[in-house]
Amino acid sequence: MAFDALDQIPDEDLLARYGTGDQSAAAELARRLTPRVLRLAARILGDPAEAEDVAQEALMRLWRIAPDWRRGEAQVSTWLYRVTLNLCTDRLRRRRTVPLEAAGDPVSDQPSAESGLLDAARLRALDLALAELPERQRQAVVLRHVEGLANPEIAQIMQIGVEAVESLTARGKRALGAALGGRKRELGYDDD
Amino acid sequence: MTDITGRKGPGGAADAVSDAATDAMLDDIFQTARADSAGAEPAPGLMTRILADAASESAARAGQLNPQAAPRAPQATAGLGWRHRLAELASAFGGWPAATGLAAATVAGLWLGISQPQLMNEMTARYGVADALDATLGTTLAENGVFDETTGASTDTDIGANTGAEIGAVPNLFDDQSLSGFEALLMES
Repeated sequence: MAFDALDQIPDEDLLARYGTGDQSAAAELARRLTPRVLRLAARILGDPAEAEDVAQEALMRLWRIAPDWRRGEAQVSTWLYRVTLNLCTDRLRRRRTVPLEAAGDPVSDQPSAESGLLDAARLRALDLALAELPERQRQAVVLRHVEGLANPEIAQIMQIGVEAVESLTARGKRALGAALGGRKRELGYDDD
Repeated sequence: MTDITGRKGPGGAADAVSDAATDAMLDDIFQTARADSAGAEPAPGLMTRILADAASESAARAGQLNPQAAPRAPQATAGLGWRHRLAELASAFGGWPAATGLAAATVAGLWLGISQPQLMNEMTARYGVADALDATLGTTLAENGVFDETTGASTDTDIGANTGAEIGAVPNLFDDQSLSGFEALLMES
């Protein structure tokens, strides 16, 4: 099959093809899923280097499960998000006693050429505020407001009910508002 | 104030304005975060490692599913080949019984050549190689059937044995005596 047709194939079919040894299917899956896994891990962990390690490990688990994948039970991306969150949780627990400042450069501390200094300041403020949230709130807020996922999918990823997702995102957003509300002017927003 | 769940907070009108502004600020920062994340491509090194993982996992799985594809241990291969080649050689000579007979003939011939070289020289000079062997080895070779195959002589072991006894015993005595008898008669005549 021509390479340009691979992007029309659903994740699950690509995974099945990889399970039979098709490396082009693996390349297409990696192209689709790695950026999503990477940015989720980066927002949760606040450390780009550590996020890369998590992304690689998450994809490795996907390669391993490919031959045993049960069609129709879950979306590949949902499963991969869940694995990523679990890997992040493991890392956060291991470094629980390490201060945030020592955990590595925040994700938004290295703005791209297009990002202005103001955007960089805003993103750094977000990362610091996210780091102060309880872990489950942080996961729910990132999945909902940064990844833009719908609550039912977040519920599947986090293996909780939709109402619990709504509660976590609401409390998380309120906490972020409390942390950043006093910095509106500093971050370039009107104070009213 | 109104949060995203629609619940009203305890604050008054000023709080509501402030909270709405905070919500707008948060929404804007989230939007910035989404744009920042979407523009950030994984580093080439990361993608290379991920694809290498995929390839090695496939290779490992292929090895588990098809163990014969994996190379055999050199020693096992060598042992199997030696036995296989020996079996093929025996088959070419008519199977293991014939090969055993051939081996016995070889050992016997070697023993004769070493222990009684003079006898062998005399017999081969007079009767040729086949008859000399027949005469010397007697039933040993004939019973194993090897002698018959290699010389084209009768496969009857009794004949072979008998022939050997006759050839081995008679010519030396008879010929010498007969010649001596003729010489005596001529002399006398």
